[in-house]
Amino acid sequence: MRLSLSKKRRFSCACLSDLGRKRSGNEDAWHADPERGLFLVADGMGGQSCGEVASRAVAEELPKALLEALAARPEADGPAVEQALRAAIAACSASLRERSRQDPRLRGMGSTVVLALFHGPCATIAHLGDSRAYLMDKGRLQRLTRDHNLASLLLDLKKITPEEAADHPGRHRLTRHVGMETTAVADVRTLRCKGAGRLLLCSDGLSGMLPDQRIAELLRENPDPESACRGLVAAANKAGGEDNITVLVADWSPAGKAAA
Amino acid sequence: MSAVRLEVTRGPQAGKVFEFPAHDTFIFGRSGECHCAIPDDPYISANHFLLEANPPDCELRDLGSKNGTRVNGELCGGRTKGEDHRQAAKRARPVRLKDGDLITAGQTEFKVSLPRPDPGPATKTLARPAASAPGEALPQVPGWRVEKEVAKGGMGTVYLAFREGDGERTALKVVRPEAARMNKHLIDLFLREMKVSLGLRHPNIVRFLDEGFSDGVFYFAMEFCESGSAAELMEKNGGRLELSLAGRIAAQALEGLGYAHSRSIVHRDLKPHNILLHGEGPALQAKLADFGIAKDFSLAGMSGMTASGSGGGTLYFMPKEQLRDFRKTRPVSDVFSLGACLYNMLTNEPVYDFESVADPCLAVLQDKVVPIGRRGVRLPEPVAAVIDKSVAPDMSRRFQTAAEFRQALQSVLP
Repeated sequence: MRLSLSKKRRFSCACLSDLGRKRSGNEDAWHADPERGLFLVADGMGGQSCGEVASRAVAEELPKALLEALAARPEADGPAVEQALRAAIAACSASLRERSRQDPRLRGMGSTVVLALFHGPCATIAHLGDSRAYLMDKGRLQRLTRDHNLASLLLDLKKITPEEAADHPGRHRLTRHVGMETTAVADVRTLRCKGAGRLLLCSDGLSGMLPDQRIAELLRENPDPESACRGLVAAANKAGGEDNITVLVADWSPAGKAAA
Repeated sequence: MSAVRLEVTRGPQAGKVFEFPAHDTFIFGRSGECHCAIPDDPYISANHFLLEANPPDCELRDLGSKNGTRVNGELCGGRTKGEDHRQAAKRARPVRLKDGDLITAGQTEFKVSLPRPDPGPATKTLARPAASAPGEALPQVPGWRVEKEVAKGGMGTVYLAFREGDGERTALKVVRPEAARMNKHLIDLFLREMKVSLGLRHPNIVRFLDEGFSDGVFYFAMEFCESGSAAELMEKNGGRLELSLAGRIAAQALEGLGYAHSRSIVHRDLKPHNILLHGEGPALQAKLADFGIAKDFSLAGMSGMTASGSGGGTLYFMPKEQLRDFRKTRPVSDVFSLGACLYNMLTNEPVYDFESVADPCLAVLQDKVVPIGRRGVRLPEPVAAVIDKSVAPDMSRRFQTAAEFRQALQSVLP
């Protein structure tokens, strides 16, 4: 669909993807389409160069497939958008898995994905894996996604405590991702986004290095998206830069006003 | 002397000696669960320090003890004001011990004796890959003539190769670690860990013929199994295997597994892809492959996949205890995995009901094992009962050893 958001909102966005301090290649990828209000971050995995192939495939193919699916349903409302997102992510996962089966060089590849699609007065967020979405609303940071990793799952099941989860080895083991063996079921939620606000999508190279409180401080200290991205990446590198760091900051405001 | 030796030279247990001939851990503290427990010393914490012996090396790490651990009088770790034991343990740095070092905790003192390092064979070299065909590159390994690539997997590439001299055929596995994480200590650690697995000699375990490291890659020459894997055989047969064939493969694999367990080696990654086959018909022989490579590779911190947040391989054959904490993987966990392989060979289905959950790990953690009788394959009742017992989520309800499982299986096979 030609999303109505472009008529209702203006976006100002920036994205920065950094190697970090320990990695030799960048396996993160991103996509930003402020015209249509579609933003995405993907973090590849699979060793050698497979991770890069996987995240790039997600960043290139998923937005295309999603917009094609929605073009056929111009009146799509919240539940329909959610359904379209789930279906597009499941199809993308099956396609990646098949590609990995066909080509032995790509065996084991996969990727996380976190995606935000603005429509009408709402935004729908979908994710698989441990890339995150945050909403900055009136100076308060709210995490919109729950990491799909083993430590989070054990914590939910009350098998471990929050203290144990913080350094549990299972925090590196993803329980859901694009390209997984079984059907990929993305977590999807829709929220109302009135007035102006700020969205952050990031790979775990940021959230694994900085606590949420520090992320909130940096988002508050940097009013424009570009400086916010630079500040976040610099802080993650200063904290060790263990992984590739990708941050996408999108500010929105009602059409006719400059983005916050 | 080839073992790391720890002698109590002072304190209530003076005179006691602990020896570690192979890779092992040792915990000292007040708790009765420690390997050396001193319950009455108020200056010792419940879990005071951890020693990791891996002859000829040995490292010590304070476990966040209240009063810290001293090595040659120097304080290593211990809590600071306001810190709890978890925070202190996290902050503590491991200390590489030297021969003759003295460790003190509370009133107890230990003397460390380390074996002389084994210089080992001269370093083998692996020349840089030479291009052999457009778009292809075959590695050149001293002593082996590499003919062609036969498989590629998550852990590396397998080539068909022949030994120079006697022409013995081998499956040559080349494993490339995440380059950025490599250092000499990790390479030595990995090869030393691997030596235990390389020493396994059994008709139902794939034999290692040679190994080495150079130019950033490890290589392992293994016995070549010309009939492929049980997974390939399943595919050729349209998915499922007959009970007589699957049962024979599983029983033979259990023979090999029992032998490895008797040498304290746990596989941790059993799946039909890792059960290789030699010969055909009545001469068919099943052999377990990849003992140790996946586990040791990731434990040694060289797996880029682990570091970057891996999907972590298939859950189809994994017991709950291994998913919750891979360090708790025991022989009985391999029993589950082999039972799951047999289940899969007979049904072409996983043991778990993955379709009922969004998160496949939940199927494992919530014990969603489907009894084999519900998979629509006609099996004699006693066979189904043996297989269901082998994949019981509660490990105390499983066969406790590979031998127990094999005997039960053989007694019900037609």
